[in-house]
Parts: sequence; C-alpha cells; structure tokens
Amino acid sequence: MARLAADAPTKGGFSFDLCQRNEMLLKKGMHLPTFRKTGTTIVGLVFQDGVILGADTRATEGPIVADKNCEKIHYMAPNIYCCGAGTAADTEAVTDMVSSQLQLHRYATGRESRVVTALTLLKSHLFSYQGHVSAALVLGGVDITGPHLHTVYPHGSTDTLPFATMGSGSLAAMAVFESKFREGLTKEEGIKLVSEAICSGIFNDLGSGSNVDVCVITKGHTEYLRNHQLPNPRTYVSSRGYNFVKGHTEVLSTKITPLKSKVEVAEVDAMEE
Amino acid sequence: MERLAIHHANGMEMVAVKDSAISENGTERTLYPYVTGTSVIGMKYKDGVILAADMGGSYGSTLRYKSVERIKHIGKHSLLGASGEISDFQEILRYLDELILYDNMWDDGNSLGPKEVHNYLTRVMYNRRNKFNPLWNSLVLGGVKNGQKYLGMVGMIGTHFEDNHVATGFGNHLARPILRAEWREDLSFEEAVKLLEKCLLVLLYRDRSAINKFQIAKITDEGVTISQPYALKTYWGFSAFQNPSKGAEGSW
Repeated sequence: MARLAADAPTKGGFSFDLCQRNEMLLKKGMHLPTFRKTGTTIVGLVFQDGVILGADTRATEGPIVADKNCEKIHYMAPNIYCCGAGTAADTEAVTDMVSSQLQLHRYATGRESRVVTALTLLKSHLFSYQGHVSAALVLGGVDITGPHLHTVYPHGSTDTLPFATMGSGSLAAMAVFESKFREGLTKEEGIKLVSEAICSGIFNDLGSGSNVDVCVITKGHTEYLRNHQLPNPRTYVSSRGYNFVKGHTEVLSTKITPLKSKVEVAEVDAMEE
Repeated sequence: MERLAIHHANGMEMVAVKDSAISENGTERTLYPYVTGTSVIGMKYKDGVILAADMGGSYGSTLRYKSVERIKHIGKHSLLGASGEISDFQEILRYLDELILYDNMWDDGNSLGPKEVHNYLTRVMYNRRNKFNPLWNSLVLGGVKNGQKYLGMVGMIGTHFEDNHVATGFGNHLARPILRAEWREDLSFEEAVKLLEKCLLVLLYRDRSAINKFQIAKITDEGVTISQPYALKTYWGFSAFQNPSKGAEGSW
C-alpha cells in the first residue's frame, strides 16, 4: 500500500507510489492532459574561438503551434547557455534549477562556472527521474578549461561532440552539419552554418518553424542574437499594406456620450499600511 | 499471430509461432519485411536522370548480404530502384519482365516509357495493399523517353508522385533537405554525382543499415549505365574525436 505523503521521508528522485493508481485510471479511460512540446531543431558547434548554439522558435501542442516565437536558448551562467528540446515545462524548469545551483556555487567558490559542473548537475537530476523529465538539451559554454559542447538526453546520458543536433528537426540539421562542418571555423562561418542548419530544420520539419535564434559564446564574451534571421515573415496580399482613410466608409449617424458624467471621481485617503 | 500447441511424447508443450496470419478461409498476408534494403536517392539532371543506392541487404540488425543490386533497368527507357523487402523487389522485377516481354512482342515500334511503367507499378502496389498483402517496397522510377525526363516514386500503400528529386526511407530525412537546398535544373553529370555523393556520405554516417558500397545509375536518351560498386572516403579525423571525454569524465 502507498504511504501517506506526510509519512514518507523525502529521499529525492522519482516516487513510484502513484504508478499503480495511474495505470488503473488509464485502463478506465482517463486521458492525461497533453504536454506542450517544443518539437524542435536545436544545434551547437565548436568553432575556433568558442561555441555557437542555435535554435528555432516554434512551440507545438500536438498539431497546433502554441507559441510562434518562444525562446529555446536558456541562460545557465554568463559563460554557459543551454538549448532545450522536449516538453517545454521540463526544459524551462530543469535549466532554471541548474542555473540557480550554479549561481550559488559561484558564490561559494568565487570562480567562474565550468560547463562540466552544469553537465553533471543536469545528468544526475535527469537520471534520478528515469526519463520522466522529458528534456533533451544541447549544453555549450566556454570556461577556464576551454570551449565545451555536450548533448544531454532525457534518461541522463551525455555526449561530448564537436557538433550536435537535437529535436525532431535534428536529422535535417545534421544533414547540413555532416556535409559542411570542418574544424577551425571562423565566427562568421560558424554563425552562417548554424543558421543554415536551423533553416534546414525549419523548412523540412513540421515540428520546427518561425525564426532562428543564435548564441555565440567566446572567452569572456557572450552574444545572444535573438531572432538573428526571420525567414517566415507575415506577408500581405497587397505589398503596400492596408490603409483605411476617413471617408471610405459612409457614416449614417453620430452620437457622442461624454463618460465623465457617468463616473464619479472622489478624493479618498490612501490605504493605511 | 496464431500459436500452434504441439504436444511432445513426454508431455512437454512446445509452442510454434506462425509468421503469417492465416484466417478461417486460408488467406495469407505480409506482416513485416525480412531482408531489407535501405534508402535510394534519385534526381533529374541536365541530360537525364540519376539514381544511387548502396548494396546492402540487412536481415533484421545483421548485415547479411553485401552485393545486392537494388537498381535495375526496365526496358529501354527506365531505371527502377527499390528499398524495403528484397524478395518483393525480385517479384516486381518478374512482373515487369513479363510486361516488357509482352510489349516487345507487339513489335509495333512503340515501347513502354517511364510514365507507363510508373503507372503500372502504382496499380500493382495499390491493389496488393487493398488485399492487405502489400509488396513491402518503396520504389523509385526514373527514365528518359524522347528527351522527356521523368522521375517518380511509389510507396508500399500505393502513394505515388513525381518530382525533381526523390528519396526513400532514411533518405527522406537526411538527403531531402540537402537536395531541396542545392538541386538545380541544369546540373551537369559530374555536379549531379557530387551532390548525390554528398547525400550518400551523410546517409553512410547516420543510417545504421547503410554500407560503404554504392552503385550510381544514370539514364539518358542514349541509354542506361549502371556503375561498378565503389566506396566513398569517410573522414574521422576531428581532433574532438581523439579524446572526447577529456573535459568531462564519465561522458562519451
């Protein structure tokens, strides 16, 4: 039998107490609420001076686009940023949590945060939740030991790579990287390649779309290029747009009611503390 | 799947699982493919149509056959490439053999072009799917007749369409983005081969059932050429691959 929440000691990690009851409810036909996923294209690559991260900006809820211009590149530390794919709430929460932990660690140690610290915090959290926290991340940053790029999977495994893609558009973006990546790219070449990979995801994957976000991290300096490219602008049938000048619509009658007479304005003392 | 219980002499029950679904009136249908070929990519270029495929036949997760020719020429004007079940591809080749034979027997100076063969294949695939017994293939049909280039695709459920560049299987996800970005109407043969090899290399890196042994086939008004098998050069020399977890112990 499952223990009451008040009795169970807080051990951390996933609590399997309610799993039996959930399964029984599913069998009876209860539907779980759908998650807002970020069916996504996120990429990262290492260039000669540091790391460049890129992401699209579409958040989907099943077949519907929930947010046309969301931010998928999350702040971890001044020198570390993290792109997130998977369930939007999970990526937000887990990156926020590790970001706070890194800040506290910076106060305790008095040093700049290292990418491996963020990596270890993320992977141990995700592993203890056995893949139920659906966050697939591309973590990149530059610290005292150099530039680093890692991918983190929902079950807690990590890879260290020179270039990486995650999300539903990862194959389209990886096709671009595999054919065009080389070591020692300059900053302009790197940004161009990252934008190309994200555009490949945007135009060839249905779960990705809208705009391209880029983040360039080098030693001592980070540039967050929000909406670096807008390849899907809102277009109108007429190139001049619409302009309705007074006089286009025939006015039948006019009645003006001043509202001041309906509303009473009185001087009252401010609320006391 | 039905299970037959076979009783042994010593009373032990051995259960045999049947791989086909035999219902009361005795019909059978394909449930899953066994020996499969991976992607085929094709595109039109200036002088005709060019197709490429690797030569692997996988038996589940084993690489069983390494010299499977998955691109064949059909009649004078067409090339057929197939991914999916190899035995079904061989059956399709037999159907097409018969079709071309009857066409030749007419001896009327006319010959079946790629459009006609594509239509025939669509009808065959769709009819089989309607009987719940599909030919488990994705077919790429390319050809040139009287200077007109044609490139089309038929799937195992009968979906068919025509396009300037096509890909089956994994090629849809990995090769299509590259082709959409870089294909042009007036590619020369060398440029077309380079573009195809770019796609084949990405597939080799990222598709687990691809092998490094390819055939490229081209068809023009002059005729069909299917190349000898050859391998692509892969690059593994990234410095990051030398000691990947140097900065992060415990990851790989």
